[in-house]
Amino acid sequence: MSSQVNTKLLSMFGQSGSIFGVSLLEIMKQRNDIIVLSADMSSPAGLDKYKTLYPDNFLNTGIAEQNMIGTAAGLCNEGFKTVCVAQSCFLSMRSFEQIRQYAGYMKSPIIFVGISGGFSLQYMGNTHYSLEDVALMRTIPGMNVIVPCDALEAVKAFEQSLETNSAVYLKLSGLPNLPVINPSDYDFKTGKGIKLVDGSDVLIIANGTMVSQALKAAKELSNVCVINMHTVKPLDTEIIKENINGKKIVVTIEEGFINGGLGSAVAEFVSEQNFRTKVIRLGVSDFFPKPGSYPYLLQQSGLTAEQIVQTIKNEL
Amino acid sequence: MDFKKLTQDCCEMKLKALEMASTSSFGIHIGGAFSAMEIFTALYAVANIPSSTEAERDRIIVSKGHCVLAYFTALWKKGFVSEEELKSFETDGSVFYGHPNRNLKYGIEFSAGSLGLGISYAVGVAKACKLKHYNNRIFILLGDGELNEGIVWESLMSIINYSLNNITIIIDNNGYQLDGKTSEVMNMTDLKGKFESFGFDTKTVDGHSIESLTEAFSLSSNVPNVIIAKTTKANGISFLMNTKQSHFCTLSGKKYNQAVQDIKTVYHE
Repeated sequence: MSSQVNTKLLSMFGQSGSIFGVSLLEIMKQRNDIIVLSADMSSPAGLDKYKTLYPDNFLNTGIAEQNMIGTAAGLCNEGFKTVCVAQSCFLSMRSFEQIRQYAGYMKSPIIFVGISGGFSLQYMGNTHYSLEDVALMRTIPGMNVIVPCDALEAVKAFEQSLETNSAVYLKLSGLPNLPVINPSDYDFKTGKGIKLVDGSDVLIIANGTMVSQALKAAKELSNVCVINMHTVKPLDTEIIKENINGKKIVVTIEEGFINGGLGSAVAEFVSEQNFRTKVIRLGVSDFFPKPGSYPYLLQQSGLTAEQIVQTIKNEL
Repeated sequence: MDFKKLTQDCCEMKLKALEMASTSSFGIHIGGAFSAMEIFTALYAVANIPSSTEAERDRIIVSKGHCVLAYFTALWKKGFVSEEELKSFETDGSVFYGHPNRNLKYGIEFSAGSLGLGISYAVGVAKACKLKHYNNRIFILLGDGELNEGIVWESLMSIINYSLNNITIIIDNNGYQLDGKTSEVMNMTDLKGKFESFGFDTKTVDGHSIESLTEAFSLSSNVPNVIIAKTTKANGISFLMNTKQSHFCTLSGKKYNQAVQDIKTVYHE
C-alpha cells in the first residue's frame, strides 16, 4: 500500500475490510495467482467487490472450514497463493487439524485470515469468541502468528505475508472504527516488535486491540514502556532483551485466553533467559465470560485501561 | 494391456509386501493393503505418469494412507522407489514408514494418515489443474471406513459444486474398519445411492479383477465419477481374510511362511 494512506478511512472499514476491500484490490492489478477461499463468510470479510471483479480467483466452500483448508492446500501445492477466510473461532478450532496437517506438516504456505477475532462478536456468545486461536496456532511448526493492532497494521501484515513462503495466521479483531495506533505510514516487519512508548519501571507487551488500552494506561502511569508485539510467533526476543533491564515488572496484555497466548510466549522466554523479572499476564483467565457488549466483556477480564492501571499500581 | 504381466507384477507386490510386513515388530496395516493390491496395480497401469514431477501427470492421491504395503510396492513396480529404498521400511530415520509422506521424488503426492484429508486436498489439486487447463485426471483412493469422516462429505459436495469432472474416486470397499465390520461399526447403507444422490457417476466393480478395474479406470466421464471396488480385507491370506485382526498386526515366523504359501498358491507359483 502506498505511503499516502488514509488511516482514518481504513479504521472505518475495520481490519478485514481494509485488507479485502482496499489492499487486495490494489494487489490484484499486479498479480493473478491469488485465490481467496471463504467458508460462507465473504461478505462480512469485505470480499464482495473482490468476488465481483475476480470471480475466477475466489472459491466459496460453503460452511465447511475443514474442506476449505484442504482445498487451499491442493491449490497451493499446484502453484497458487491461497488465502483462507473465516471467523477466527471456526477457522482456528473447527479446522485445527487441517491447518496442522496441510500448513504445518505439509508446509503449504497458506495465509489464514481469522476475522471477528477476540470478543468482536459480542452478543453472539462464547461459541463465536476466539480466545484460544493464538495458543493453538503457536504450536504448529513453521506457522507465523500475527495479531495486528489496527487496520493499517492488518494491511501491512497481509501484504508482507503474501510475499513470504511461510504459513501465516492473522488474527483480525476490533470493532469498526477501531482506534488508530499508527497515524501515518511506518516500517512493519513480521517478527519485529515496535516500541511505542519508552519508560523505566514497567514493560508492557501487548498486541491487537490491547495496544490501544496499553497506551491509555501508559498515559495514566509514569515510566511505562509499551511494546506492540504484533507477531507472537516468531517472537521478537531481541526487543524484550533490549528493554527488560531495570524493569520492576513485565505486563503482557492480549484479547484472548492467557494460557498459551502472547503472555505465555513472553513468560517462557523471560524465564528461560533467567531475567528474574515478574511477568503478569493479562487476558481472559480460565473461564468463559458472560456474553455482552464489548466493554462488558473487557471488564470481566480486567482488560479496560482503568483496570490495567489498577493492576499495575497494585503490583508496584 | 498386458494382463499377464500385470498379474505377475501384482503377485510380486504381494510377496514384497509380506516381506516388508515380516520385518515389522511394531505392527502394520495388512488387511487394508491386501484389499487394495489389484487396485494399485490397475491404477498405475492406467494413470498417465511419465515421471513423478511431470506437470501435467495424472495425480494419484491416496487418502487411505495406511495401505503403504500396497502403495509403496506399487511405486516400486512403477520404478519410483528402488528395492534398496524399500529395505529401509520402518527403520529409524527412513522416509518409508506406516503412512506416506509427500515426496514427489518417490511419486508420493500427499502426506496421508489422518483419514479424510486426502480427498479434500484433491479438490484443490483438481481445481488447480482445471485453472491451468491441464488435460489430466485426479484419482483418489478412499477406504470405506474412511467414509465415516465428515470432511469426506464436505469434499464430495464441493467436487460436484465445482464440476470437477477430472476426478475419479475409488472406494476400497473391503467391509471392515478397525473395530470390525463397517456394517456393524457405522452402517452407511446404500453407498452407491449416496454417491448417486450427490451427482456422481457411480459404478461397482470386482476390486480384485485387474481387467475390471483397468476398464473402469480407463473410462472418463462428463461428471465426476466414483468406482466402488468390492474387495476382501487381507485378500489372499487364509488366516487373516475377512477378520478385524488383519487391520493392524504383525506377521512373523510361521505366519509369514503361511502367508507366502497362500499367495503363491493363488498364483500357482
